[in-house]
This record gives sequence, structure tokens and C-alpha cells, in this order.
Amino acid sequence: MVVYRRSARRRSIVILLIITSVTLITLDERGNGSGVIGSIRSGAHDVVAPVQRGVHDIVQPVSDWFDGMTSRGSLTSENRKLRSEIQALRNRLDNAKTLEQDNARMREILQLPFIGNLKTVAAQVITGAPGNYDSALEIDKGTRQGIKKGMPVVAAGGLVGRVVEVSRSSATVLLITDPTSNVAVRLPDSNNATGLASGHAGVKTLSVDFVSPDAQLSKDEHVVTAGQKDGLYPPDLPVGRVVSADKTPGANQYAVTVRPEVDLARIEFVHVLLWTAAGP
Amino acid sequence: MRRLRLLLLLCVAVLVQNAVFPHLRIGGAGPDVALVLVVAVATREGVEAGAALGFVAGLLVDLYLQTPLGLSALAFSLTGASVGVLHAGLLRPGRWVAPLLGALAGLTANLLFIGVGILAGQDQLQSVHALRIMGFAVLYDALIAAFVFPLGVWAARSEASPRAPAAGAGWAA
Repeated sequence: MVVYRRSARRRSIVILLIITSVTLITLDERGNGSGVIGSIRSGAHDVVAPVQRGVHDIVQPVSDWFDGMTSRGSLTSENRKLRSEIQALRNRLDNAKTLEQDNARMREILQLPFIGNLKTVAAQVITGAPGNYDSALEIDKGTRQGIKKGMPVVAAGGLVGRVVEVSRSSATVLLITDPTSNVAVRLPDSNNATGLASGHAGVKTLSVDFVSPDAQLSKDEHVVTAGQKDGLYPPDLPVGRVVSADKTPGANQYAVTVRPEVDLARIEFVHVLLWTAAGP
Repeated sequence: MRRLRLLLLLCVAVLVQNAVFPHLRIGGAGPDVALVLVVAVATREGVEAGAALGFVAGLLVDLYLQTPLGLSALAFSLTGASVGVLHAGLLRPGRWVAPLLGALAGLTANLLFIGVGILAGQDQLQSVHALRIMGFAVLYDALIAAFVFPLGVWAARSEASPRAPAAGAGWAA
């Protein structure tokens, strides 16, 4: 009898916890991360952010070593690639004029010329996504610096993502390569053809859908944000460059692959644009 | 006192998981430190403690994820309860028990997380990449279990019988 009661109690506890979990999942999905749950999440991020920042400063050298150990294969090929690039750059040193032009171009990029008059908040990346299945970054600035949910984030080169979670002193940035990210884009060199760029799990490139088959796309062509009315991003932020564009006979759209302008795996600093869909 | 100790250790585990392990990923995956701690406690304390502690641990972890709140809570709670069933003398202490349980728990929790997540509309979890990440996470869980299990067993130890034989005594031996 006692064993039966204990077994029934165990069952009740497990069932109760399952029901509570499912209720929470439903509430959070319906509320879209806002309300009480959003506030609790924001508070939790505030608690952890100082520790993340401190650990980032301490762990970074160890982390670099660890990265080196775990990605030795890719580093070897990258090293080979860099060596050939160095050789190419050495050849270019002979041409002072070209060097000057390159220098000027790099300065322009570092000054983020594409953001125009939009105000920004510079932030440091303190850690990657805590979860195994998220493509996100944690940055060291939050509501205290005027950052709000939905604000676009850029780095030298172009678009990084947008703020999806914000606390007083930190924020979570969802990368454009996350499968849940969608960016309305435009191809200025292809008669302003438009499309929707989205990420895929574990892939560093973006795929752009809904590009008209009439467009004449070319490799390395620039892709920028479309800046549609009520869109998530302001217009003309560089997103990436076309890697491939295939048109299957009879298909009513291109299959376009785009490489992001920014190396999202190695970002240290970003700028949050103080801009929301409602206006700057 | 014991509950407070467990809760504090759980908070430290979540903190370490969020602040330290994002820098120490293997194959793009980090370990579920809090889950391994739950499993260590569940092997000693049984189904109820495993389920309850798993729920709390999962909720704390969920606060830092982009997926809906409650997803990890459900996965950890069911995993904690399942491991708690093994508590009833099914396991014999041994050096291999901690890594094995760590891996099994990691596999169960990640499969539940992905499965329920897909049902809840988290389509990004429906990919080969997610399975690859899960593989590395399971290996990582097995790896850290050897260190986390003794901590969990220590925290779950009752003050009344500090030297009582524990299911996990063999892990540290």
C-alpha cells in the first residue's frame, strides 16, 4: 500500500511538472518574449552580465588557445590561404597608388559610412550564445545606453543582426545567419531586385529567396537591406555578396547564396543602431 | 540547509554554463553543466528530487536561451525523473557510471529538447546541424560528469548521515 502511494505521488509530481512546463512554453510562445517572462529574462541577464564580462577578460587567451586546438584543420587551410594572400599583397606594395586607395577604402569602412546620420552605441562582444542551438552574441551594452529590442546591429563591413533580448547592462544579438532571422534585401546592381535573406543551421552563408528570375545577377554583387516600410532594418546596410545564383529552368525564382560581409565568427566590437521600425 | 546548498550549486552551475563554457566549445557545442548536476543528485535521491531539481535547473537555463521558457525545464525534468528510476539499486557504483550517465542524460535531454522544440514551432532545431551539435554536447556532458558528479553527490548528502553510503560513492573512488 505504501509503495503504491509513493508511486502515485511520484507520478503526480512528474505530471504536474510536465503540465507546468508545457503551460510556460505556450505562454512564452504566445507572449513572444514580452511581459512578465520578458522582464524575468531581462533581470536574469543583468545578474549574469558582469560575470560574463569578467570571465571574457580572463578566459579570452585560454579560449583562443582552445579554438586553436579544436579547429586546427581549418586553421591550417586558413593559414595556407593567408600565405597566398600575403604574397598577393606584397606584389601590390609596389603600387603605392593602389595602396593609398585601399587605405582610404578601409578608413571609410571603419567609419561605417553606410549608417549615414543614424546614432549608434558601440559595444563589445562578451560571449557567444549560451545555448547550443542559438546563433547569437551577448554584448556589453543594454537599456542604460538606449538599446531596445529590435535595433539593428552592424560591424565594420555591414549588418550583423538585431537585438532580441535586452537587459540594463547587456543585450543578446540574433545573428543574420540564425535560421529564425529574415532580412528583406535588395540587389542594387541587378535593377534593385528584391528578396528575403535567411540563415540556416550550421551554415555560414545566407540564402536569398523570392528573387525575380528576370534579374541578371552576377557573382560578388552587393546585397543590401531593402528598408521596406515597417521593415526590421533601415535601407542600404551592406548584408553580403552573391556567391552563387542558380536559376533552374522553369523555376519562378533564383536560388541565391550570399556570403555575409562581416565574419560573424570573429566579431569583437559592434555598433547598435539606435533605430527601430517605428523610426530613429 | 541541504536544499539551499543544492540551489546555490545549481546557480553556480548555470553561471558557469553561461559565462565560461561559451568560450570553451567543442565542435560548436557546450556542455549542460546544470543537467549533469541534476543527474548526479537524481541517482542518489530518486525520481521526485530528479524531476523537481531538473525542472528548476531547466528553468534557470531557459532564461538565457532564445527558445521558449519551459523547454529545457521539461527536458531536464523528464531526464531527472528517468535517471531517478535507476536510483533504486539498478546501478552499481563504478568509475564508468558518471560518464555513462552523463552521456545518456545528455542524449535524452537534447532529444527531448529538440523534439518538443520542433512541436512548439522551433523549426531551426529541425536540421542535421542540430543533431551534430547534440552529438558534441553529449560527449562534453560525459566528459564533465566525472568532475560534476562528486559535487552533486556532496551537495545532496544529508547532514544527519554524512557518511551514509551513496550511490555515487564509487564515482570518486
